[in-house]
Amino acid sequence: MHVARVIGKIISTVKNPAYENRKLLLVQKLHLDGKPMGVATVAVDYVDAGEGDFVLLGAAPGLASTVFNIPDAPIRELVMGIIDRLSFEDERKEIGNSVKPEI
Amino acid sequence: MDLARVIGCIVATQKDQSLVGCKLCVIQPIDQDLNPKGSPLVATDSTAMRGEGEIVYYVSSGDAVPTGPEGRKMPVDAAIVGIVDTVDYKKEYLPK
Repeated sequence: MHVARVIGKIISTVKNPAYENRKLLLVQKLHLDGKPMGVATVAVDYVDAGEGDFVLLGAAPGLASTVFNIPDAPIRELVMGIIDRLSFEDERKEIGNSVKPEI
Repeated sequence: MDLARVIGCIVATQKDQSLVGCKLCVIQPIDQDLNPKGSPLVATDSTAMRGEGEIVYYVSSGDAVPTGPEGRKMPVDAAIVGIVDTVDYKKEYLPK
């Protein structure tokens, strides 16, 4: 699982049947210091996350099949949870929806 | 799933039996601003709708296997699973 941030959404009409009636989000995976990791990816929403939310991103073959109970769903990234707060024992910066942004 | 742009198509007569009737295209992975990222790859098209220049999203490695017609399994490692109508994101949410 990765820490990620929802940066937007994708509208798609023509799609594989496994994606029907599912919300597609554009998410950016993050390093634990809040810096972006790679380019933004497309993820299926499972927890009703919104734009700007810090989320838990599951990315493994078979994960979506288990969650949606569809055999062999061709879905890789799945938004599995919303992060309220991610704090560290050391001095690292906290991440999360309930953490006030720095001004 | 990653974003990509369809940049070409492949015609192959001799191929694995399970790939018969399946479109093969060349896709260029792109980032959220639609700029090319990384090198192009070949993917099958499970939507059977793509045209050149279209923005799509695709799955890779093990997830691409069950994308044949009616969930048939195919020996592929990248498959287009949908066509993007719009990409809508806010730059302020993108971490720096």
